[in-house]
Amino acid sequence: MIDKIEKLLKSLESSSIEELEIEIDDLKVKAKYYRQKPTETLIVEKISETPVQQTAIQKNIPEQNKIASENIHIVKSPIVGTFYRAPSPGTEPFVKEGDFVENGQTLCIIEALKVMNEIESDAPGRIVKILVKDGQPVEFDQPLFEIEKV
Amino acid sequence: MNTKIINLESVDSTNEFLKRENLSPITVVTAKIQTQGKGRRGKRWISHSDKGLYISFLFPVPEKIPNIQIISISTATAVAKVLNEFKSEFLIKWPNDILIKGKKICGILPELTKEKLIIGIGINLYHSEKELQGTETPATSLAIEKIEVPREKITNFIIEAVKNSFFKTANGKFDLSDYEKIALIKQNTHVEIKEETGTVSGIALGIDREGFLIVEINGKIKRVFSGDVSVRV
Repeated sequence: MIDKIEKLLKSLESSSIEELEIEIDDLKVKAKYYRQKPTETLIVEKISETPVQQTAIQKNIPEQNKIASENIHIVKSPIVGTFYRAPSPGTEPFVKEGDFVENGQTLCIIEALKVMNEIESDAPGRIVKILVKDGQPVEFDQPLFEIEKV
Repeated sequence: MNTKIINLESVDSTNEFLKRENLSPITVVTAKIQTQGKGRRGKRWISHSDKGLYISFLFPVPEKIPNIQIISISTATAVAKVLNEFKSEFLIKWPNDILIKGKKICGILPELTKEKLIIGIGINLYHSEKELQGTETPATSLAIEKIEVPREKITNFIIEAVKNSFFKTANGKFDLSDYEKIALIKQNTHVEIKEETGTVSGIALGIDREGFLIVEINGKIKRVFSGDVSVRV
């Protein structure tokens, strides 16, 4: 039983759950997770993976990050759920890498408990990278798309 | 908040109608027939003329987005409670299918965009067994179950119940234990989950506070967000 509780607590580490109470027979467990929302710096780090010379990064970190974060817009997941690139299995995906998208254009669906959440682009631009594979689970605030603003 | 009710003779899908029309919440639309009645992920919903209740609700998008998925379970709970007034044998199969004697009688499809929360509900009222043949999962209707309810009566009950449930949920007042009382999948139920990436089976441990199904699969705990869940006997 302790084993199962341990596994359960561990599996929830990367979820959005903040508090958990388990009561089985005489055993009572109370767990609290301290969630830290991904910050801007975290995203900037990801962007700066684009090939630039190591020395340049070290010298000009603030400047490089500024340029990257000004041009690249990240669309994040507003909910926890399953990520789908197409409206239904076997149909064309909403968008592909390289596509130009308008503000308000549907990019994907995230399904949670059968709620089909249509995620729209909140900036016009070109899809540079789709960060999640079709049918994969996503967490709250997880980056989904990199859009190069035009 | 005022409610506008639109009764259509025929429509492709009541959800699609609310998606494309520029209407203000709360709007309720019903249709006698749906030519392209839809279910989850491209599935069809049998929508013969005058046989079922085909109804969709347009609600404002609640502010607390992170837990919006609870609306699926709360709506199913509200609809099942209405049905249980006629015969108390209806259960909810996670997250929001309503079954009687193991057969599906009602499907719910919530769709969310930035501006709209649409909840589509289909209830089989007067279908014969023949008319429900060929469904992916066994299906039934109120008529087959010998439950006689006039269309107008059940429509009005559903509208009131779903509206009340929406406000309750939007205010964070929905009690998950109301669902648990009429849940088909309970602790230790053997389940099979069909996802687009494959099928897995395990033992249900229950649902968490956000409504997700917790399943033990080969000794590992998995939080299930979506998928077609069936009960293994």
